[in-house]
Amino acid sequence: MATILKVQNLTKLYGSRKGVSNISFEVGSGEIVGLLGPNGAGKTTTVECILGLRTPDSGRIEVNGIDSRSEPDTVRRMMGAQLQSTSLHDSVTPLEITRLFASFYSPEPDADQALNRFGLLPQTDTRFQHLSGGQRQRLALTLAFLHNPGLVILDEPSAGLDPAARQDLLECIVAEKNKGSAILLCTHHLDEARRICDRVIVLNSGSTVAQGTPASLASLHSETVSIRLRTAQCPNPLDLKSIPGIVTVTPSGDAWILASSDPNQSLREIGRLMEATGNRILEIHMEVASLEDAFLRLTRHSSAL
Amino acid sequence: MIKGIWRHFILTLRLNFRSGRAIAYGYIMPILFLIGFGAVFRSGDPPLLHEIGQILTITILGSACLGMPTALVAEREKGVWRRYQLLPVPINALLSGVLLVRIILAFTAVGLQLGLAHWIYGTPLPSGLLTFGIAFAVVIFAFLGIGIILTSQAKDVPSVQALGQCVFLPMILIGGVGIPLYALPDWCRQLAAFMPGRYAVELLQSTYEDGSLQHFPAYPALILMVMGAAALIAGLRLIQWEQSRPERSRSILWITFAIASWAGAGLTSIFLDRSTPFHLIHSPSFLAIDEMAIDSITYDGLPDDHGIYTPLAPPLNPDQRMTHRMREFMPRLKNWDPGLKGDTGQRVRNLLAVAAIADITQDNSEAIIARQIYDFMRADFDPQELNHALAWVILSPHAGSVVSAAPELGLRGEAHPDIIRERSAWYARKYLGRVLRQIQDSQTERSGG
Repeated sequence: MATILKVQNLTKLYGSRKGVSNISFEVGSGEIVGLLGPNGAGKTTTVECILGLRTPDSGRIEVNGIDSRSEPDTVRRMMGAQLQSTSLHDSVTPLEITRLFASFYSPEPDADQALNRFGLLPQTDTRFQHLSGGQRQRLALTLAFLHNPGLVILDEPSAGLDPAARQDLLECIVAEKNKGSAILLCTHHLDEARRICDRVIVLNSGSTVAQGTPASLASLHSETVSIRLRTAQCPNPLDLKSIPGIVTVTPSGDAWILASSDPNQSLREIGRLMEATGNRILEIHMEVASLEDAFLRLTRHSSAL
Repeated sequence: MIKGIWRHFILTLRLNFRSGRAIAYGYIMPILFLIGFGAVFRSGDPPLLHEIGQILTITILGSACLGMPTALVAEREKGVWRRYQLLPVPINALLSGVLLVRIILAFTAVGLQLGLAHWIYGTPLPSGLLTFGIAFAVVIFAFLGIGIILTSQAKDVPSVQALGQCVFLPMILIGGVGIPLYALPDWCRQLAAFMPGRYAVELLQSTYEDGSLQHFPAYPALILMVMGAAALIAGLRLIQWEQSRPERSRSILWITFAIASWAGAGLTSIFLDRSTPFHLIHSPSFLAIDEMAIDSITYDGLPDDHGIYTPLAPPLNPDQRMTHRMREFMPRLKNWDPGLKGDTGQRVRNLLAVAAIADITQDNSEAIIARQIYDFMRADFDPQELNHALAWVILSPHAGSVVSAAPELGLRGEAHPDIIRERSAWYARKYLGRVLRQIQDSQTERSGG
């Protein structure tokens, strides 16, 4: 897997306030790397520095080995982007704007083909103001992937979309990754990161706090495992709380959600408790370490530091 | 890249015509201004010809300093220009397409106004398309620079519109654009010399009426070029494509740079005594007036001879009793230097000015003075030359020099040159009408001329 994007020791300050400090990471071809972090973590600053919208104070950004500061035009040709807070003219049509953008690249991409790639052929002549939210995001993706760039940066691509539209969009992104694009994805939706990212980078307060695959981050940084328990008779919650390893007990409909720091021991003790009380387990389901837990722990912990 | 820039230009033009608001501001408003001016100034001869510079300046100013900044800031607010920044093309290349679109829009709006003025009011079309085209290009260049600065300083659409009005309204009200300079007090005229609007009016008006290249008004053109260049340089330094304003210190520096050109222009004009209202420096002399021009003059709507505005006594009876002062007036007039020196055209203009001064200062014998001047002209000048000279004063009221006082003829007081020119033109029309028998002059008719 070739390295397409290389960010080294990126630092950007806003006066005395730290935007990002000493951020380093890489994105390879055919890989989706998620950039996660709470609001103000530095995700947008990082993305804007990579795109050339902001000038870093220090550090190096290379795309295909080319320094973005010394050859910004060359680098821009190799990148595509979908920005979070971007709109287009109300009365422009997808075909017009795609043709416009296409005309800046050589060889000129086929606009109809590009629109078809993201399912927008029926809307080629629909004015932007009449497109749905999902269609607008797909148009933004069309423009980002139009010239088959080696690197694509997506900033909150599914913001404001309903679950079905978001699902469609994620599938489009994965399809592009499978064609070999390197994709840097900024998102607040951890389930998105878990589903489609090959690796994630967690930022907080302008610094990198963790990097790795979603599963490794979850297992390394999650403190507890969730156990969902449904029994024939309602158990005494105090009995459940007294099981070794159980941290919290939360009712959930006709079941209980137990957070356990030692799932193996907790499961054994649950079995003994059921036997001792003459109860019967109807359903038991253990959820593996969650990225959400890891994320919250990482960002709260680093904030506390 | 060239193809992309061209496509962006075409798309920008197309999108403008998809916006109802843009069409209303760009075309309906200029038509309304034309109709407004037509309602007030339609009695001119030809109608609106002497106001055309103002009308067109308002259109171009509105397009460049209100229309364009509003469109650019609205796009920037949406994030359109932020997205454009990611394209492999210098952003200023796309901006140049926007400026070109604005030139086309202003040009078509001006064309629409001229066509309607010609059709509805009979206003003649520009006498020289090349020189008028050059004037238009210079004016819009000057105003587009201001528009870029306004775009750079506004954060959102409401603030850019407010800033635009801060530039637009002073020029309209006291800058000689909306209200003609001759109708403004002295201090306004001095102040107008510091604003580009006044030079735009002069440039457009002069080239509209006199399309000859050798008479191209270089001074206002040069002033506008300097102002426009300063504004454009400052604007390009300041404009940002994110929704944020440039640093305060940078803004102050570059805006000061642009305003310095306005200050320089004003001080230069005052020093060179060019702050007085626009005048057609290079109007054709009376010799260039031909018969067709004389025939084009109409005599409708002349003020009443017995009224308070340009009164004219009926033909004098030799037995008529006159005051001592009036009996002395004609001998003095025959020896009055400005009435004897210079070419026929200027002499006639000087004599008409005497009648005008008497009228403006409300001399007790103003009507008789006017009649005596008429009689003197009929007796002293070659008839053909007199006709041409009177027509020249009517058709080129701002040409030549003007006498503003005549104490040696017993006239007290002094009048403003602009008002003298205006009244002289009315008297010239009354006189020429009588000479050509287009107006009844009772003694002329009785005596057979």
